[in-house]
Amino acid sequence: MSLVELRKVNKGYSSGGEFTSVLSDLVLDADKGEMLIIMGPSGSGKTTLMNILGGIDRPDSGSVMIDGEDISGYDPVRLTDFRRRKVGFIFQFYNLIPTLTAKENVELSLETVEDDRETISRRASHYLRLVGLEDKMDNFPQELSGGQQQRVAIARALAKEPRIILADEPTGNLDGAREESIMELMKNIQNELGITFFIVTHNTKLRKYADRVMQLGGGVIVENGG
Amino acid sequence: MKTLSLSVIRKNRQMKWRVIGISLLMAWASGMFIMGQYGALAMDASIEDRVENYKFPDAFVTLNGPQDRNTVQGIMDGFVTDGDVDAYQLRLVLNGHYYHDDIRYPAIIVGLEDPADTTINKLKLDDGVYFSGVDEAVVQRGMEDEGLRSGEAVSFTVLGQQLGLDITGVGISTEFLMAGDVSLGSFSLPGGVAIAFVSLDRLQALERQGAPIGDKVNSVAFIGSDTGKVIEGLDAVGVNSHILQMDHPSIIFLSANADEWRVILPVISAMFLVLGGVAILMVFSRVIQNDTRFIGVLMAMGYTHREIMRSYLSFGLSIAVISSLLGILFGYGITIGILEVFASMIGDMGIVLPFAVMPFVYGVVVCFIFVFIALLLPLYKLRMLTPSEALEHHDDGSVFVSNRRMKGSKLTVLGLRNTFRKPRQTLITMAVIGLAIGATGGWYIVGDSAITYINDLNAQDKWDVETNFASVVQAGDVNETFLGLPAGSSDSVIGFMSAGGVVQSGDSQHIAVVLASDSLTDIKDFDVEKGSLDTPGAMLAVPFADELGVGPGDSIEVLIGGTPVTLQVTAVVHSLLENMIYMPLADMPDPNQVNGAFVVLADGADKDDVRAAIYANDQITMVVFKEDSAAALAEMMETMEEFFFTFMFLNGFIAFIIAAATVTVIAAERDMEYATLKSLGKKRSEIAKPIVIEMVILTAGAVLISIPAAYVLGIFIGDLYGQTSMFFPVVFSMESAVFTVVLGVFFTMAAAIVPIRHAWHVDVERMIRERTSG
Repeated sequence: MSLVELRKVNKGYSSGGEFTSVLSDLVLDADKGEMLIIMGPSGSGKTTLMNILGGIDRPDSGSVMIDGEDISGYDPVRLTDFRRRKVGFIFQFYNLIPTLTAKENVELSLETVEDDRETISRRASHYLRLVGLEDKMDNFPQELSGGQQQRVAIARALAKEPRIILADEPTGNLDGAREESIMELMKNIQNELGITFFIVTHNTKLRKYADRVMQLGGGVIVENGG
Repeated sequence: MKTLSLSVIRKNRQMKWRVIGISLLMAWASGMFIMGQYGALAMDASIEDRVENYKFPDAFVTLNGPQDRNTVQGIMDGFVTDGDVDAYQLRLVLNGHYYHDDIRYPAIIVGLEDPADTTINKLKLDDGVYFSGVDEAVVQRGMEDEGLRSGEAVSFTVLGQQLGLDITGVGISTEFLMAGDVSLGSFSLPGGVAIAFVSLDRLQALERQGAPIGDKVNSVAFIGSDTGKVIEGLDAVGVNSHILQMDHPSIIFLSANADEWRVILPVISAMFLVLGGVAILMVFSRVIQNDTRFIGVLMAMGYTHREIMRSYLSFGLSIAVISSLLGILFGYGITIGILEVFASMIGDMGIVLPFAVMPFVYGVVVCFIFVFIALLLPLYKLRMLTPSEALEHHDDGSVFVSNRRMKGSKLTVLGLRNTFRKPRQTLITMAVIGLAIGATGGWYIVGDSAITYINDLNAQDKWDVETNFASVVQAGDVNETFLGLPAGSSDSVIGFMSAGGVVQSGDSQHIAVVLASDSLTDIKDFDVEKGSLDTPGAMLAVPFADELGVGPGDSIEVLIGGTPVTLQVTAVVHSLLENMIYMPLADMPDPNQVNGAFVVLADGADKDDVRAAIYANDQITMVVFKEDSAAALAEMMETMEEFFFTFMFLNGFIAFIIAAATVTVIAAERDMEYATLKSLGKKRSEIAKPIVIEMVILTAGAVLISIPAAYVLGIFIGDLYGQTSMFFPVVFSMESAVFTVVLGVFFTMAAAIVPIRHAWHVDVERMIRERTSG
């Protein structure tokens, strides 16, 4: 059984009395430890798909089965709980809290699943070491480079050991060398920890890291292959 | 501490000056609230202390001249036996004079059987001992500088006879706390009356109409359950007048002040609380707006709305806690400070500071309520955010601009366009600053109106000297000769009868001060609010007519000296004494008697001669020279000015804080623009220019709003004053409008330094890196 199973998922938005379909009868499966790269032009439904996978948004119809839970009918409270337990996010613009140090940013995420301060501190340090930032733990985001900030964001997403990680243009704001470094880091983590990655990107150079590449167009998957 | 809370607290620290400014504003408001409640409680406690600890009588009865002591004692003993009276005191009270350094002071000499009586009307000693011999006396505190001190030998003049006394002690009697507070025709400050307590025997030995007074008393004070019955009983020997505990000047004075504190200060504090609340709302809304994307990230991590809101509440909590703690300090400190000033102003008033927790609790609760109400709207917005909305949030960069081409440098155009880039925000900011300036101007209008009113009323007096006689005399006998004035020194001598009166209106009784004369319009140039002076009749003071609900054409019944008198109201006039009734002498129960006279001096009269002549006349117990009362008035005006203008400047400072807080909120939105200007190599003065232009426009709009706001607030405060202490019409003058504008411009433009400094200190490198990377 797949870790992620989307069946006949539909999603659209009404604006000015007009309904626009974004996803239509979308079907998608992903296995545990798989890295999927989702590509497609603007408006193809990439962000909507990520929001539905992450429990940020709900589909109009269809089922969204993740790790044995059908979240399509969840109310906002249960969706929050789902995100807390099973999803990690990585954003293009890192979105670190500027008033917290690198370690505190990671701890912030851990506090949603863990109460013990010592465990939180140990796990935050562990994941920051994993992303190569053991000497930057007490630095504030403004004292870090773009690549370092994105590593903190990855550590933050990883620390609570989610089942899936959703990354929206994770290298969109980085230069070539840093882009490679971040992708390699995510690939290693995928292999070591068996976490399923969904990565949205416009960058075709990243295809080589994917186990599977999905091309979205007009709300449906137009290409699904390695 | 949770990391989420830590992040918000650190953010608060970055906004520390805004937090401190708003906290100071809220602390001041909370302090005022506490001051109102605690100050009123202190006043109540002081009254209770007076009444309880000093065994303050339930009533004071003045008899129709000295009456046989045994007869009066028999009547009172009967009431004691019946259980109507718990304790009583028989006295002989005489008026006289006391000279010190060639200045004559009115004197009241009280003959007592037992000065150490602890059952009624206690005379508490400050120093020394009670008198025991017939030539000894205890004096009331307050005239020490005028020679009335323990160990001094002094002389009083009573009934034209010298009364030499050795002062054995200085004490305080609540009965005479406010002695000499108010004279009929003008304003005079309390104090300045010599009061001596001597043995009853010594006073009874004085001669009156050629023979010793003998074993007689003319005043009865008592504590009892049925005052009406006792007063009626004393009528057997003739009652001239009486005063109940609740109407006694000492009690009325303290109660009025307690009411004023209890009502006015919380209302003023509410005004500050609202303004502070608006400032919090604006700052906090901006914080939430700026943080929306981070809120989205927190939601994506699995944080609930409640957890996120709780962390943001720490912002409100820190303001509420700082404000409350400072508010408690302000409230307690200012209460003590003002009470001490108040106590020193009225000479010999002892203030009791009760142990009370609730006023402080109320102050803290009110502060918390206002802070958290101010947070409700931004928190509601946060509550309604969905994760996807929050994550996709972009700070609304859209601005309102006019296509009209503008002349001037680009920096000038930037300043002009920036002002109205968000019209709603601009209008709200103008309104908030305008209201804050309006509050400042409101105090000026109130102070100006009150002072102008009092000065105008005082200027209406046509007399030069007001005299009060030792006893009533025939109206026809009152002339220049009777007063002992040098021949030709006066243009006119106008006899009057003054008395206390009671007006029944519905179920309530209203105490009135009655002044009856046949030549009222020669005494005063009346400012008529309603009706006419052409027809002789009763003229009521504006607040008194309002209180009774009567006007010209109505009739009222006044009880004067126990006799009901029906009066036709012909006019409503302005008067310093709020419960004043001016009436024709012909309407008095005895139209031939007067107990005082106003004197209009002739041009060129030697005032020193007049003064000397009046001081030498033992028929005159009390005298007010208009020039003296004008000096007292000027002194009072100075105190009033200090009071009102202190509030005005405090308000101005608060307007400065509010203006600074609100414009900084606006400025904080434009960090990127300031960073851009700096990166373009613009000088500090050039960066400041658009801000100054914006501030000038904001100030102009705010002062336009402030003028009507000041007037409305002035009317509101004036009305509160009218209800609690002193009536005066609130008048809007061009001078107050100009003053409000000048003050508004001064404080608001001074606030421009805050956003200018903010713009100057924007870190270009950090700003551009942060903003361009997300």
